[in-house]
Amino acid sequence: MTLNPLWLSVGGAGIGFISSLFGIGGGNLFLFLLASIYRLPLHLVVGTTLAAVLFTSLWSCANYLHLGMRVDWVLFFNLAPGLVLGALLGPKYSKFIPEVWLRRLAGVALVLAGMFMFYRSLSVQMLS
Amino acid sequence: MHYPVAGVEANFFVTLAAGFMIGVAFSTLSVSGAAFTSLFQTLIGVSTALQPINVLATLVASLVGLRTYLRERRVALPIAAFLLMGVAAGVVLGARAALLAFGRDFSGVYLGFMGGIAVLTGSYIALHTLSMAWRQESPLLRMVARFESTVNEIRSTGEWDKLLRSGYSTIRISPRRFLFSFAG
Repeated sequence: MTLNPLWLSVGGAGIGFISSLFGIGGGNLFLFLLASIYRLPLHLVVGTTLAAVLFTSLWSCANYLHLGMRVDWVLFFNLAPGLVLGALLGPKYSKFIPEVWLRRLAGVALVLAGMFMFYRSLSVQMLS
Repeated sequence: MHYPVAGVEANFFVTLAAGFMIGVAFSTLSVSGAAFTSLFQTLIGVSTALQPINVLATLVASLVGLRTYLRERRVALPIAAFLLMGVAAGVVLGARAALLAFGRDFSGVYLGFMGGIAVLTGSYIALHTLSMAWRQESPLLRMVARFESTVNEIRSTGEWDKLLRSGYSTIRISPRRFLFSFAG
């Protein structure tokens, strides 16, 4: 399969801009770029996205800590064992899920996440 | 369990289970680690001001998940590198834009914007698999068919080394063209 590296970097720049502006990892955007625009298989896209998200998350974390935002470390360390276990088992078994179902699952998860963000957006705007 | 900074009480096992589900969802689909963490925080009554937890959770899940993907050769490192070259430029511009807007609360706009993008892209990704166009995605479907048949074959024979041999490999990289193969 052939890709143009220049356009990949242009796409990355757009995602980096949004990630940095809003302080997010950008996993959704990387997924859409690679799976839907570049038509790469999700079995390859997810690992590649995680490699890219690692960088954007590190940047966002550094930014938050630099701004002096408080982190509830007790909450984080209670979430962490489950996160680690889930992240160990997820990739181990994801290769057994057919591509078409992986895409449908990702799509549904994105729609649910998006609806939740909309709900939060409305409640934030109503509070302010 | 009491969370001092958040100022809320939540059952330890509920938190553990939430972490597990976020870890599985993010490392399997690379979708919305931050949104799901944020959903959990909302459910237990934590303020949106504690956003670093979302990003920290994404960071941990990607770090742990990446280990398995790398081992199974399901990561296209050159693609990640090309993306990150652009990301590096984008984050600098984004940080400057954020500085210009210093003091303004972006959370409402951010959530609405990202929510809209997530609903649109999610619908497209899921509905595309039901369309006629999906059946015409020949290069993608060929790659997928090879990968799935390799996995099925390995499942019956137990030769896991075969997965490592048939994973991602770079064929040629030049500034204008990047050629690779996946699953043979």
